[in-house]
Amino acid sequence: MKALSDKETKNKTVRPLRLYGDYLVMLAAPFILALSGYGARPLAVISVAILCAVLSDMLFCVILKRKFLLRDLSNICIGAAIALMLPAGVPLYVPAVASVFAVITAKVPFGGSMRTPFVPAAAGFAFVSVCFKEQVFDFSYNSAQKMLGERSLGALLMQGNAVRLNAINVFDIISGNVAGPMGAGCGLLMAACLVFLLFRRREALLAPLSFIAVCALYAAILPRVNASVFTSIFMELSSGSLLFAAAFLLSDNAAQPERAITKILNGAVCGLFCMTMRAVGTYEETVCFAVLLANAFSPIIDSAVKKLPSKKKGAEK
Amino acid sequence: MSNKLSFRDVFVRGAVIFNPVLVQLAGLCPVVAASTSLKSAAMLSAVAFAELIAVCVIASAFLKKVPRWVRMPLYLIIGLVLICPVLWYIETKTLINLSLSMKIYIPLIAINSVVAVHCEQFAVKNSVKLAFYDAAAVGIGASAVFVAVGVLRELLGSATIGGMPVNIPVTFKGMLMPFGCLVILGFAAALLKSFVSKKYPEYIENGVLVAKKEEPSEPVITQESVEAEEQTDETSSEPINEDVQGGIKIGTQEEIDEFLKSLGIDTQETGDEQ
Amino acid sequence: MKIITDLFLTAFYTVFVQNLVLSSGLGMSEAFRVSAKPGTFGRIAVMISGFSVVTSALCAAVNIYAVEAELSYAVRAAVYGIVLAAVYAVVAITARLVFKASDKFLGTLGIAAFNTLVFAIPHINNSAAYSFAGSIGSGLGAGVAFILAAALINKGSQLIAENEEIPDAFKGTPAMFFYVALISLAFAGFTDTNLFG
Repeated sequence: MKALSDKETKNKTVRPLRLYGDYLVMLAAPFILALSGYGARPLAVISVAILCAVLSDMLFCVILKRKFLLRDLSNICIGAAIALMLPAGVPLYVPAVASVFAVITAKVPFGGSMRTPFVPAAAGFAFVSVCFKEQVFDFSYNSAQKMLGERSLGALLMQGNAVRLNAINVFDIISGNVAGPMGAGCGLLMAACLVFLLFRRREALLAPLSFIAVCALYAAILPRVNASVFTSIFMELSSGSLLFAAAFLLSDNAAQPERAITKILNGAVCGLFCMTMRAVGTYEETVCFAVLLANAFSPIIDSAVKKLPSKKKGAEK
Repeated sequence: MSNKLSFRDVFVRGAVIFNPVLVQLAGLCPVVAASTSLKSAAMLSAVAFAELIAVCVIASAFLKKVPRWVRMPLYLIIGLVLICPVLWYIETKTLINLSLSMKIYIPLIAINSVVAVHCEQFAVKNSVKLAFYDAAAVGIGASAVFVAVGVLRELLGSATIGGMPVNIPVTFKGMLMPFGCLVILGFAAALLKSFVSKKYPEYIENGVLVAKKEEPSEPVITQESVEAEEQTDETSSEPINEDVQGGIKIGTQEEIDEFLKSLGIDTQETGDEQ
Repeated sequence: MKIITDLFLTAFYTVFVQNLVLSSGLGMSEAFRVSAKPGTFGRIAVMISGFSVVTSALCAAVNIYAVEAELSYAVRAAVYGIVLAAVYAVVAITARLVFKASDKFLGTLGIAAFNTLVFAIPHINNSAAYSFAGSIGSGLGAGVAFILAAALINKGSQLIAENEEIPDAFKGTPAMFFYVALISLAFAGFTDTNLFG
């Protein structure tokens, strides 16, 4: 299959079916991992999230007298992405609320997922993080066999204690055997998803890669734990949904600027906000808030970048 | 100025079609920040309503010949003279227990943009009677939004209405935060727009709320009078990119620049570097 | 050193952690209005910062007395209002008489001085018990928070205007409300508390 360029998707020459089909292929892997780790529970969470996203979109299509496109897979992607960032034991109303909020505030009012300036899944997750903080960051479900029990890496980082990596099984962390979001904990799998993107939409990788680089740099310069630089970087990147957001939210082409340099800057800004929020904020996972902020800053960065060459031209004249 | 406009005309335009909060985007601070319950919303709307009427009537009666830059601090002073004694009385002489946010946001009503917009846009250009009509209409429109938003936020955020528990399965803490209010305002504005497009389609052009094509003969609230004022005063309290009583017509940068140029404002000249 | 740290930390807090415009709704109407005039952002932000800083500095003394004398909030508000009006009067008269400022400039000055953002700054300094340097920092931060909000809203309005897929019911202000709501939600990632509780 031919890889998609961002120009194609912006110009709407590519059908959403193909774009979101790719996302669904990518989302299938963490979903299967969640099933293997937590049993049937993830199936219930993901089903509720997808169903609510589809139904709310359908309802608004009826209200607004617009055609509901069954082949628009974006609702499924929104629901699945939200569900996989939540803990497996989360009450089912949480994914339902997140999906409905994502669709009715970040998708419908802006004319659909191909034109929205914000990533709907990030909006949905951010909303439930504010509304149901205890439930969204309660990772106790089925966590007896996990490396740190019900404590997540994010919680460990927030406490800021001294950590020695050799005392923690590195493989446990990168394979997702730590309490955390049900589908976002496995670093290896997220890396595989990024590799998949490399073959499918190479330009979409710019923002995620610069995001990860800035997060790593921030973790190295301003570590939250008393540990080596490598340990700090490793733990920050592995905690929460950081890599998941890089692969699935930051690569969303609708909310991404067109220029390569803007994508890189956008990812960097997102990384800076994400790590600053982690350092000074009250939430264990802040990546979705950072994605929304980066989406808001994206047009400003884009117009600043657009002005650069014209200044150069002016100077040459 | 003519007094031919009836209260109904003024009411429909001021409270519904060009609702101060949902269309003109004025008075957002009290509704977004403080209208988190029916009680707080009712208090804020009562204060805003009384203050709006009083200041608009005083402005129309006494401040028409005062220069605009002198009028603006006077609105604040008049507002504070009206609000602070009442607040002081409630605080010190009654057993009413005001929350900290109410103690701070009630005086902020004195500097509310609804007051400044309607005093400058309407009251100082019209008779006392029409200024009273306009202030009452706008006050009712704003108060209705304050109270409706307050009830919804209290219901969804605290599962109570007026302090009485309501049995709903889930509460949303986010609804008590400013973004929750903005979401409610977004839906309310969409509902209002749908209503206006059905009942008053002459106010809708290309999906955006605009001035009615056939304006009433009275010059009091015509686009021309507003624009004429703007041409002499760049920073009218009225939104720069709007039609008649404030229906914001969002435009591209080029449209905004063109619009500003039509008002005699060169965006290059007024740049930051200047 | 502590003074500079206080100043910058408070300014950072005011701009990002509790963005006074987008997270707290202060001066939001003015931010919407000013956002349509990109050329005036800087000028208005400087004026807002100036009024906030001077009013904060003058009200800092009032705040010390207010705590000692247990002044009611109504009296404090009245004093803050008089201080703000006096600062505006001095600046406006000076600009008019000395610099022959135009009505346009004085109009801008009025908008920058008389909005809920500037009027709330002394209250915020008082309730957060900021030091003198912190009060100055919050005043400076108010201006930056305002320009940031106006710039974000301005770009959002352009995106919405260019988007022809938006349903008719949401075109214009409804879509703008959602746009600003999502930015406000993003800022909520810094803190889960409301200003003044």
